[in-house]
Amino acid sequence: MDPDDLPDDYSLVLDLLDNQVVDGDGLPIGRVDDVEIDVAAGGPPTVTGLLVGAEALGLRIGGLTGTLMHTTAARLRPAYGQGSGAHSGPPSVPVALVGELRPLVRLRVPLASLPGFAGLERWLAAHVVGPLTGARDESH
Amino acid sequence: MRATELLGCEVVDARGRPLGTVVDLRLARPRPAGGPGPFTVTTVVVDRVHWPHRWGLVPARSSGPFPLRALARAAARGCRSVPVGDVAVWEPGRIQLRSRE
Repeated sequence: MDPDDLPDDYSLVLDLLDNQVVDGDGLPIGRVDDVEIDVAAGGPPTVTGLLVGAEALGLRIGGLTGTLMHTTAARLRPAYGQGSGAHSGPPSVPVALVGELRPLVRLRVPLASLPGFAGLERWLAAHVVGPLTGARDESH
Repeated sequence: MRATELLGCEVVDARGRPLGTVVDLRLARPRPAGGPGPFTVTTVVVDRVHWPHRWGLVPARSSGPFPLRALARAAARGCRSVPVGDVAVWEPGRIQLRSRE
C-alpha cells in the first residue's frame, strides 16, 4: 500500500486538546478545549466537531470555576441557527472544516463564516472598539 | 459525548474487573483523494496511572536525554491499547470491554 494512502494517526491528548486553532486566514481563534464524539451503535466512534471557547473549557474544568466560565460564556454567545437547527451548547467546529492538525489546527474557512464563535470579542469589536475615533480608518 | 468525559473514566473488562482508566484516545483520519476524511476513534489507551500521559511522557513522543526517555518507557510499562472493536459499552465515566471467547 502506498504510504500516502495510510490514514493519519493522531493522539487526542497530544495532538488535539489544547492545540492552537487558526482560521483559514491564519488568525488564531482559540484552542481546542474539547472534542465532540459520536458513539453510534454498530460503528467506530467518530469525531464530529472541535469545541473551542470558554464555554467548552468551563465544562471540562468543572467545579465552581468551570460553572462560572461556562454560564458566563453561554450568556455572551450569540444565538445562531434557527428553529430545529438552532445550536445549543458550546460552539463547535464541524470536523469537515478542519484541514491540518499539525503543528496547528488549521481550519479551511475564515472566522467570519463560523457563527457563534468569539461572542465577547465580536460584541466588543462592534460596540466598544468600533465606535472609537480612528477605529475604522484602514489606512493606519 | 465530549471526549473529556471519556478521559479518566474507568475501564472494566467483561466481568466488571477494573483495568485502569482512559488516558488517551487514538484517532485515525483517512486521506481520500477529495481531502482528509472524518476522524474515527481507533484505540482506547488504558493505564492505571495517568500522570505520564498528562505530562507527555509517552515513549513514541519522548525525545531528549536518556533519563527522560527511560522514565517515559518505565511509565508506559502498564499501558495497554484497546481497539475500539473490543469496547462493548461507552458511557461517560465507564467503558466496558467485550468478553473474548
